[in-house]
Amino acid sequence: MKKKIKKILIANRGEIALRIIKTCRELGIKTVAIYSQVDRKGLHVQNADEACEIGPPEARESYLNIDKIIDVTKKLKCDAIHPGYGFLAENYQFAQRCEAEKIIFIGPNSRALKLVGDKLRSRQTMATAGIPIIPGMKSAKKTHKEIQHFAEEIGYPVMIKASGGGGGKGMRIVRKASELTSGLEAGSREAKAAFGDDTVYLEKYIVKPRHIEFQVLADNQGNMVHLFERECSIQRRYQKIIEETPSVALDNNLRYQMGEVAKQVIQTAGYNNAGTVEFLLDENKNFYFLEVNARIQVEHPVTEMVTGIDLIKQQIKIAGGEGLGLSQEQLKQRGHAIECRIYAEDPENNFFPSFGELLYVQEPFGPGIRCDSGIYSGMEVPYHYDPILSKLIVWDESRQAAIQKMNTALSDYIILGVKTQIPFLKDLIQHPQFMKGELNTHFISEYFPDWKSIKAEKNLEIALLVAAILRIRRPVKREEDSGKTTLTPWQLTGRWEIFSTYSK
Amino acid sequence: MELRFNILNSEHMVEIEQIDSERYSAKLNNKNIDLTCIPISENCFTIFIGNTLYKVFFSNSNKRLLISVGGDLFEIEEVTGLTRTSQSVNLQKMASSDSNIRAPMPGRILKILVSESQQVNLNQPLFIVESMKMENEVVSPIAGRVKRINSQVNALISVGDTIIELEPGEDGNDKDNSSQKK
Repeated sequence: MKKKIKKILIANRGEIALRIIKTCRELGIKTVAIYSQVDRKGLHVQNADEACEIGPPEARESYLNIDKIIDVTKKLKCDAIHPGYGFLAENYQFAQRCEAEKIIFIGPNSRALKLVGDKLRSRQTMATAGIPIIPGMKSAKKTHKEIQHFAEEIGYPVMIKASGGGGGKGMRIVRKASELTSGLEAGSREAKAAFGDDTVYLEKYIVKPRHIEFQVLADNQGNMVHLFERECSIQRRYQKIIEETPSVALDNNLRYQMGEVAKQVIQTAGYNNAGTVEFLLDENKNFYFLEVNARIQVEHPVTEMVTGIDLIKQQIKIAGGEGLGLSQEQLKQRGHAIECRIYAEDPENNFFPSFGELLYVQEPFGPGIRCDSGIYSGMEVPYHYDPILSKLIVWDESRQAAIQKMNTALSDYIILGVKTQIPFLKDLIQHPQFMKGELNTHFISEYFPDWKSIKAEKNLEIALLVAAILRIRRPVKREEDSGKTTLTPWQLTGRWEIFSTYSK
Repeated sequence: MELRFNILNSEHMVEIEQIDSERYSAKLNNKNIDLTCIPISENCFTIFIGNTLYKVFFSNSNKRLLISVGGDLFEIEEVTGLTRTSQSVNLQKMASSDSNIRAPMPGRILKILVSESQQVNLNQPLFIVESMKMENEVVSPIAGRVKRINSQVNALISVGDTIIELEPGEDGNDKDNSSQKK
């Protein structure tokens, strides 16, 4: 039974909200943007059909406020809500509330969302179904003694992880027993702040792992496909920075195996709509199920670039009750895509967030260059939210060509006013190990522990010359330019009136 | 006209004259350079030196001059008689390293890891700031002694707030003449 979705409220902000709004427009669907007080001038607001202020800047009062969001959705008669990523995207209570209010939640059903949202429980469910998992705690043992004993059993190093969510929040590596207590304390605190749930658990820590995830789409009629993998091994503090597809670590055989397991995971969870199954791949090509990301992900564009499928469009179609219309056999990966996340962070100062006004922005463009952006010249970057400004994605026929294209595109990405890690990313992708595809999740700490930018001498000279020009530049005198100006004498005269009553 | 600029903590001198609305003659690093500057927009010039052209983006507002050329970003400050004094003071301060440890971002103090009069080593963690749901550790840029702690746990801080004041100096090398307990 198909329900036509005519109007969608986007419960998010920044680049992903804009991305969703654009696809809605293509589908002829009306859009409602919500914004906090500091986001009034956001790009997503500018591009929506209707918009509603949702509260003060603090996410708790605005983008996380379920009651307010449901109110606006009903008041403006929206059929559906797209939660984007982050915020309420993986909040099963929000999904339940939508279901109760007969609002279509563009994402998985709330039952599956609840299951995969509990990282600990989903691990157990998958293990029972015969899916390989990393050795770890079967439940969130509460006493410190039990946790310590468990860590000694599975052997250090161990990884502390939050049960309530992902994105690196609450994660800590503990290499020896003496570090366990402080690691647990810090992890619990971060988890509580990010997810409202301080439960943490332990897993064996795999040395030099590669992070490989599979995109899956499942409709409401039981049809399912995977759209191959993304490699997200380049991370800093467990936040992904560079993602790519295909992964050089996978041959067709391994890809097939992992793809089938990914679909099995989605099946086991009773999951529908778009989801991603995360694995860790160790040095011996053993793969272990990590978790399900029950949302459209930041890095979804690289999959779109190699498969030619618009994932947001698919999400909306599935949520509207349509069948998948895709078969595993017809899906192919073509060429190579790389994404760099552009953060407002200072790579020369420990990647501390950089806020302020974006004095000037110019984005790269060209064949195979895609910029999913939430920024523009003159925008004020608020400090209340994740510092992601935009994503730069490139596609080319080979990995080598894609790297060169990314290098050019990064050079053409001009952002003045806040610090970004663009110069750091350029150095990173030119590193010989990156170019060889020798990636693991410690890449940055191993090869770039203390990065400082090196500027080209020639560029420094030109910069000095321009600084000097700006300083001494005379405004052009009219006599020199007579005939050259395009202004008429009437315009040049300035303000004048006939019979003016204006007195000086 | 002779101008001095500070880029990346070093001073550079440029001589420049404007010849006409677009042409300039400059001297830099003992090289004579003839260049043409074509304004493209409020934030963009193309600079021609011979037939080679450079596309330059800049923003000259908020008292900062930011210039991007060839993919490199520069922050430039003109050195006038007045600023030179403060500049050298700053440079001197930086030579002995910042002894005022400032908050690098707005947030909340989670933990203060040192106490007053404590001796600290280079890169020793001083305090933890919570910002945007992540914890950030701030470490000492020098070896020295904690002179004063200006904040406390749970305090809300803004960028630039001085959190800790340090006194540079290796163990036993304090500039303060009075005897110090370790």
